[in-house]
Amino acid sequence: MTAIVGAHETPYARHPAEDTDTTGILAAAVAGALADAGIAHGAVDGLGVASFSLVPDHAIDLAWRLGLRVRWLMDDANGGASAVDMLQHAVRAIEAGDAETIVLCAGDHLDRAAFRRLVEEYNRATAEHLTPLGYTGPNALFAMVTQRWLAARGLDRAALGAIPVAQRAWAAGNPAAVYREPLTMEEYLASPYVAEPLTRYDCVPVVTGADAVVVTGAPAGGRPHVRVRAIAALHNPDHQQGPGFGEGFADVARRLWPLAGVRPEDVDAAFLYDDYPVVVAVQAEELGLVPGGDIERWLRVDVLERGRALNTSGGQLSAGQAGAAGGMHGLVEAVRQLRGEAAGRQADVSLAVVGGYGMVLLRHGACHNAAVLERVA
Amino acid sequence: MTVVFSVVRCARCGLAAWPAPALCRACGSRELPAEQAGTGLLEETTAADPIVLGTVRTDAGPVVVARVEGASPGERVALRVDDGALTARSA
Repeated sequence: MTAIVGAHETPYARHPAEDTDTTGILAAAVAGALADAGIAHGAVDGLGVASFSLVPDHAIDLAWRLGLRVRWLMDDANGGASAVDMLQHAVRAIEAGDAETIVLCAGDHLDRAAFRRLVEEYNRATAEHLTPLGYTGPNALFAMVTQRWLAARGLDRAALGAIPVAQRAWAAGNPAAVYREPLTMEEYLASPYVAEPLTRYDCVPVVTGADAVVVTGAPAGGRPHVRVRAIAALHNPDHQQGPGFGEGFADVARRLWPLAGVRPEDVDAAFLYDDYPVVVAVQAEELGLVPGGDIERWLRVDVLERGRALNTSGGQLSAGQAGAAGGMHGLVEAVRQLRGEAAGRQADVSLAVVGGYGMVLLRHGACHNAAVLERVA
Repeated sequence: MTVVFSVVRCARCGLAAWPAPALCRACGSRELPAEQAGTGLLEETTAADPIVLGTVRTDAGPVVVARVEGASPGERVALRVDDGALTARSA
């Protein structure tokens, strides 16, 4: 049975040490995940990597630097959707016999200049059509996605404020989160706009860091591992012409739950990609996690008041976004929760969903995917 | 340099798109001549220092992102490209 048997995240740093480099943090994540799995370095026969700052190196260069001789190799350039994307391919590769034990890693070290270059030249459309407007980065684009979503639901921004406020409360239990001090709704609402209606609490802090997981076809006994029940994806659903919601995850959900053989209401915890709160709300709604479709009540009661298990690390909004590792952050946290190893913030979790989202082509993200994971004792 | 904004329109099926795709998303054609798209409706704006960014539904069809100068959501706008920057002003 194919399962995730190890996970690791390097300490996320707002201000990394002078000699930090991308290969080094990816190596630390890989070594940590193998140690967590109890699997020898020499047993690895597959490698996948997602990183914006590994250039000019690719997965093969990383395999060389990590001393790995591999039968399966994958470069993934899909940002916040890369972890679930690599997991999708890795599970199938193992099931097809292409490899037995695959390490998937993601991470970035982006200094100020490298980060600026990344956002200004994120893709050709950004470089040619957005950067010349005189504003860089995705905040203003997601401000408009947020406006459209709030208007469509007849809600005000306090509704979405439940997400950063609740995730900050979870972050208090995660010593690795970069922001852990409590955040109140009053503070959230009083914060100045970065791009209306978004405040700095709606935008991820950029950090240096890396994440890794180990997937194998022959998990050892004695410790819970994590089985992948189903994965589904949809990319470029609307050619950047729609509102930025309503198509990607809705389609993913129609295939995901029948494949998983469980219902969304069976899920104990959700790890939803959170570059912006609206993206979490869109995943929750469209993946079917909102009882009766009442998103206002789900945000206010389930997420904020009752502390439903959602992005229990504090999410990227509190723990930080380490470039392409942002997509794997939630997967690593899901594995920890499912194995009962989320000290300080452990919830009662045996079935979880992980959402991936990313790659802004012009107006909003184009990549959507999700995985249903379960604990196997 | 200032020019009127243009999109492309598929010579085979008539679908308009922007930025110019390599193949028409509706029919796969590569024949995509340019067509002026100088007007549209401003749908949303957000003040993102130092500019105001907006979403414009062009009359030609494509929804685009533009720098907004002195126009508000719900207004008709004229679209020009000023030194590479797509700019929307009150029509």
